[in-house]
Amino acid sequence: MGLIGRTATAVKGLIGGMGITLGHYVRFSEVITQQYPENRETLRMAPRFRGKVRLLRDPESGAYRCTACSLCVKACPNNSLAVKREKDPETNKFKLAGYYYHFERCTLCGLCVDTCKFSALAMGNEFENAAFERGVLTLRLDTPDGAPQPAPEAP
Amino acid sequence: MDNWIWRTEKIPPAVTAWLTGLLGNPLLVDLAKMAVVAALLAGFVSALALALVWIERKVAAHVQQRLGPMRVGPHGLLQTLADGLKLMSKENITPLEADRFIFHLAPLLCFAATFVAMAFIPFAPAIQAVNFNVGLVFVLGIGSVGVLGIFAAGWASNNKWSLLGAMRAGAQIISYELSATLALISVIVFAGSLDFREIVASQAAGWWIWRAPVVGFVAFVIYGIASIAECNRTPFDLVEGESELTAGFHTEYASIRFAMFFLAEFVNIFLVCSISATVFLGGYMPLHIGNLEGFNRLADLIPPWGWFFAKTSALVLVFMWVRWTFPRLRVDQLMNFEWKFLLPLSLTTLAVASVLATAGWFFFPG
Repeated sequence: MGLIGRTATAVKGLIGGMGITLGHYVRFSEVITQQYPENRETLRMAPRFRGKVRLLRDPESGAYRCTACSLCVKACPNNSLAVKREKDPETNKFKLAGYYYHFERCTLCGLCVDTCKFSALAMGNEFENAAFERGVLTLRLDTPDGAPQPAPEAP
Repeated sequence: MDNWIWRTEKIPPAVTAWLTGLLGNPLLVDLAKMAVVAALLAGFVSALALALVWIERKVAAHVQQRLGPMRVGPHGLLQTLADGLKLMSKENITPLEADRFIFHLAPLLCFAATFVAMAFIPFAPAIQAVNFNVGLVFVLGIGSVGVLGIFAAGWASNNKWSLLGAMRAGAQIISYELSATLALISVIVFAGSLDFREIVASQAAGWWIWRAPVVGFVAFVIYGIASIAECNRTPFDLVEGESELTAGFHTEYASIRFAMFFLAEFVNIFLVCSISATVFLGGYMPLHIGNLEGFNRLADLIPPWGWFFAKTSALVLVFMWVRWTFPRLRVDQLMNFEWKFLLPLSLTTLAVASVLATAGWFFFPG
């Protein structure tokens, strides 16, 4: 390719690039940043954002899917999860008696979610996690209403 | 249509008459005129720099799918003002080993160069602070004083990165000034004058960008590229390549001295765009198409300074668009592009333009 050919290719590339930026510039609806404190009500979070771990329920029965197998506890690199289990006298199987989450130690790595065989865990979307006391960050996740409760009794 | 908004050439005589009535002595009147014009220019340049910084940030943001400044004032309009106040309130540090006199002089030199050059730009008929018959050459020369400021800053900082940045600035601007000047001369041979007013007046029948067949457009593009390089803007901002030189020549500058470099840089953009608009796009001449009487009347409804600012702003926006699209060049690419491509091209353009101009082969001659 001679000089003219190369020049033409270069100009074509440059104009193509400028077309892309012009497209972004004129389409204001494409803006992906958000005005955070003002739009707390309508905040859009990315689905893969890793916030606090939460327990998932079975959509049909409404019960927590967790079988208290403790794989997540073993997977956790900094010991932020603890599972209490007890034997069901009727079925003679283990069931969940308390799912404790030390959020103050959690690094939000997501290894617990990756290891869970029953899809019982997920990373939440909350990010306003600052607290004045360490104690309120130790949570029990398997509460009846699904909202994590501070659990000072956690192991 | 007959008042001073459209017929701006009425303003200077009116001001002179008013000042003569007020002061009497012609010497005093001249001094007062200088003071008024200097104050107006200073105010204009400051307001312009503030506005340009805000626009640049907004353009950059939307190109990158962001919103940019939104907090201070509606849509962040007062953000630059706040930033300016912050800069002024910061500590003004001079490095211990710096060459103090030159270090303090450099930002003034940079700012003064752009400020003086602004005085030659015709914003509207008779709205031009200084007019003389080689105005264009003078503006190009004054532009080089700005480089001197950059070089002085790099040298006096006594910092190797600053010096490297300044040397790059010198090399770059000396190279690209050739192309910029040759591109302007390619149109000057058609216009037949170096006087800004006469260059504008020669475009009453049409703008040189299309009246000079092909060479007008080529020269316009060459001048655009070369002037981006002269302004040290991306893709030619090697002078302050952050990843290589921290901030180039202004690494050691803080506070108001840094702000002066910053303002000079932004006013410089406006300056080269207004030169481009004046020489290639007819300056304050409205767009007239042949004998379309209705369209020409409509175009005349916009006052001349409206046309000037519309053309210049459009060019400024293109500059910003280019800046936020292209990545930075390497030093050798920069030099190769100028000496092996742009300079031969602009010399060819000048040669062709000279032939066309002497033969009278352009649209609407005479």
